[in-house]
Amino acid sequence: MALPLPPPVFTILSGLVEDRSGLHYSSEDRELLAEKVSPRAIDAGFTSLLDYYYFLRYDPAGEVELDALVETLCVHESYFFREAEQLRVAVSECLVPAVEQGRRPRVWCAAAAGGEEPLTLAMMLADQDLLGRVDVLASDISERALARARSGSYGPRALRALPGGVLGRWLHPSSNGVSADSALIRAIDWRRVNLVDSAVVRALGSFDLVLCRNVLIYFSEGTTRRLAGTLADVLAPEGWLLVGVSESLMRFGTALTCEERGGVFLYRRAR
Amino acid sequence: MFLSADDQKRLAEIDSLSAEGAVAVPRLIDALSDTSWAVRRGVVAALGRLGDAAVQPLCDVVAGSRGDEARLAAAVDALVASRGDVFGPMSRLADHPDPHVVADVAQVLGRRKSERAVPLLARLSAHEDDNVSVAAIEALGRVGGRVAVDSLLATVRGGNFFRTFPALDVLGRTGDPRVVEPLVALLENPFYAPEAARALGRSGQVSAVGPLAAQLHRAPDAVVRAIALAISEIHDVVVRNFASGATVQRQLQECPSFQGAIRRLAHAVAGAADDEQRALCRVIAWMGAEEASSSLLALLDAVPAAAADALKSVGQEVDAQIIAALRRGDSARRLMLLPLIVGRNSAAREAIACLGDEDPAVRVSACEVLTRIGDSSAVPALFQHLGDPDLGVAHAAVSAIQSLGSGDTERLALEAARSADPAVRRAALRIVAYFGWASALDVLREALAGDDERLREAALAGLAFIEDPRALALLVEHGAHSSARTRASAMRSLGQAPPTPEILETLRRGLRDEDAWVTYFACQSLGKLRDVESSDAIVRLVDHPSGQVRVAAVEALAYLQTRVAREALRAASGSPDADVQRAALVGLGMARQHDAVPILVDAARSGERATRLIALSSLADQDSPEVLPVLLEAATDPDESIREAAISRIAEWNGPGATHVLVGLLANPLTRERAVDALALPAPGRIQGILAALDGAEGDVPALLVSALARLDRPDGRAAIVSALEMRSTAARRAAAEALAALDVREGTDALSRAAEHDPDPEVRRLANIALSR
Repeated sequence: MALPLPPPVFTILSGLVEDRSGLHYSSEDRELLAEKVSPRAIDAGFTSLLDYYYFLRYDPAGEVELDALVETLCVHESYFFREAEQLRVAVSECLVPAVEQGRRPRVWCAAAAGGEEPLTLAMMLADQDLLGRVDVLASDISERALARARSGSYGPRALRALPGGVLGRWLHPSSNGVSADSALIRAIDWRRVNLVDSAVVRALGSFDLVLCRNVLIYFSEGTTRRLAGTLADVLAPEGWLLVGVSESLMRFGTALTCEERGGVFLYRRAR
Repeated sequence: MFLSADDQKRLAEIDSLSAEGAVAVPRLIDALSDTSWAVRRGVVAALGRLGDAAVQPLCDVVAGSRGDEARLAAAVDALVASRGDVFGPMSRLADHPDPHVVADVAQVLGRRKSERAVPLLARLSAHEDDNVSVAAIEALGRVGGRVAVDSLLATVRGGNFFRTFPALDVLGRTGDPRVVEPLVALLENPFYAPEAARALGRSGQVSAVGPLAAQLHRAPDAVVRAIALAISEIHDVVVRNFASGATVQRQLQECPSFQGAIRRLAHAVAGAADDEQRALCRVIAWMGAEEASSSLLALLDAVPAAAADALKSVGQEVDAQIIAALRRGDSARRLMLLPLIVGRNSAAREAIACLGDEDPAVRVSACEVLTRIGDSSAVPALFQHLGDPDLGVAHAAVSAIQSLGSGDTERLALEAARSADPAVRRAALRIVAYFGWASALDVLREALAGDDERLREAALAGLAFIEDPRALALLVEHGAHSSARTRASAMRSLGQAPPTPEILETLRRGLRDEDAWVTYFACQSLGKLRDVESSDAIVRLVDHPSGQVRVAAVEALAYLQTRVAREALRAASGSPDADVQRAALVGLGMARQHDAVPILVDAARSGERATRLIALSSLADQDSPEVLPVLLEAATDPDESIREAAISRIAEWNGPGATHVLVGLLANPLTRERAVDALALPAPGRIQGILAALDGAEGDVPALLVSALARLDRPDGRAAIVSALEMRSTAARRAAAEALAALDVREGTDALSRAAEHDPDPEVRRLANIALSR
């Protein structure tokens, strides 16, 4: 089904995708990439992935097509209350104290996918009566994922880790699954942001809490290192950065210190 | 990037101190107490570089005041990294009254993998202080070797609870066949059984499978899980080394309490971790027979992913159950079960039903299954999905129809090519193009006459495969169409047609087209048709303002083999546009001109990964003595894809010396695995080359060479292993005997009998006996 993707073409095509999105494909992923790219290439009228690569690279319409391709390649799979303990600790030990000090903390969910993570955070904030007192920015590279997040519609797979008391209160049954409460959706500022574009990221301003969970696994070592630097730059002094439980930034140095709070590991920027 | 300005300043000072040499040692020793981890790393590296001059002062730190943990850890790291002779000064601390100091001695010597230190470490493994003993055991594990194994076995037999666990762990990692018997004996001891099972798994010894399986029917759940993990690990090692897990599976099938074992394995799934679930299901599948299949199907509810994965290795006896489960299952279950259907005709109806699933991934999987089953009765149902809202499903349906064919396909495709739905029409035209039916000319002409540009594109792709002058005339006509996209499609299709004067003239006109893609495909087609008369015109396009035209021009020149074309290719190989440069490198590779070799050699050392990869690929096709050294250099490239490409090209290299080069790469951990893979590919002189290397090889290399011979999976490869039983090298004979014990081979009974009775090495005799017993 897939068009042939010889190693040299794989190298230049995967390099183009990585430069644009940070998504890294190792040589073992060659068939996978061919399978994902082929339908788009064929639909664009190409019978060779090298021709398609040149289209992406040189044609005036290539930029738009590359963004659409990246949309296809992104993994948008997530669920509510995923690795929820991290979020609970972040709310109770980072955001609550900030509000108590009279500040209005800023939170950035950097890879929000279909919105499950920022909406989970919003539910936790609402439970503490903090929803309107914290600024929550949720971003993703995928417009399609953001559209889904703004629509607030979710299927049963997004509910696999749902605790009691959420269904009916924040998530309302609908014909195809559930709908997130519109107050939660409105409380979040949804934006398209490409994480590898450090200028755009820096322009977002400074954050007390950054969530960048389960996304670094898709990036190469070099991209992760650069992104860690950018994220450190946008953290406020003593700000928190949370990554996925299987991800680590320890190997990149010590400007961000790793700490343990309530059984949860987090990175903090020194004062 | 994360270093503070202060850290950077202090690191610069450390560098300056380091440059002063031995006189700076006292100040560097002081700097071991620096509060910054990054600075301490710099100090450790500097002291390591200074070698002998720093060794004694570092030993003094270890033996001196031990209040500063960070300073001590840094001193130990520096001794580990030292270029000096550490063994003498460290061994003098081995009788130090403070056991913490002695434990550090063991740690340093172990991390340095100092073989000289093995007798000392063996002595320390029996030290009265448990911490020293454990440090020495771990050190012995790092060093490895026969004496180390003897000491560790003595520790296990000693029965000290605290020392036995680390010794078991280390013994397993040695991979030494002698560990099997004492570890199997510990399976009877409830304290040690789980750890002993894990260690047997890590040993990778196939002779452990039978004793492990024999415990299954009576072991508690925790031990059953550990045993399943161990057998799974051994299986993977045996497959990796010898390309077949048949011996492991046969030992499981010969397990004395077969049904009880399967029941215990299935029972242990509840509460097991993910990796344990997977291992339990795999072991059940390898045990075979109906009980195993039924067990796995029953486990689909509890552990769907693990059970489905294991079912892939089960034969057709579970057809009926899988099909029933497919019928009952939801989308997630269907997605899991569909890949299990391989060549099972009876499943066609259920697979067709899955085409209606709401999940597009299930529909794609159903198309793939129908292709694998090869049942052409599915073709009408597949046609219903040409207009599927999911692009991937539509493509999968087209691919399946193209693969299956059938008496109805032509009629259905021609009908679909007149559908009101443009997506269905386009998909149908792709099918028409694939089969090249002459009867399709009318539907293609109709598609060309419409306003839908993408339909015209699909129709033009089909025309090139129809052997009818009217089809070629239509292609030529559309080469002058008012739509640029249609002209481009015509140019691309003309590259598939015979090079008649009319076609060549149309394509040459395309070189002057105002649209870049028309020129692109005209270039490409003229290259394919090897139209040398276009050489000059194509050379002029190398500087075209549109990037894709520049690249296409360079690619076309590669086919033309004229003097002008070769000169233009050489010039383009220095283009600042990386894609143009790469296209030129491909072209130079195709031209096979000796004077292009230096250009390709230079490009193989480019800073751009993709350029290096393409240059290597082009270079490997040249018949030149300069090629093999460059491939060898690239085999240790920092980038894995380059290493992979270089080693696979060396494997394909027909000239003498390729096997020798690959054997040399076995010594480097970075290249070892790929080099074994490459040696396991047949090539002229491969087996003789491996045998020549085997008799003089040391360390891990004999086992790797024998593994390559086994993985050739040919009678002459197995005969070579048998012949290695007669070699002078004990390591070679052991490796050969181990392979023959792990493989189900019938060759070499005489040689094995001789080895079993007369080999001077007891391990070879033991392994030969195991091989003979099978």
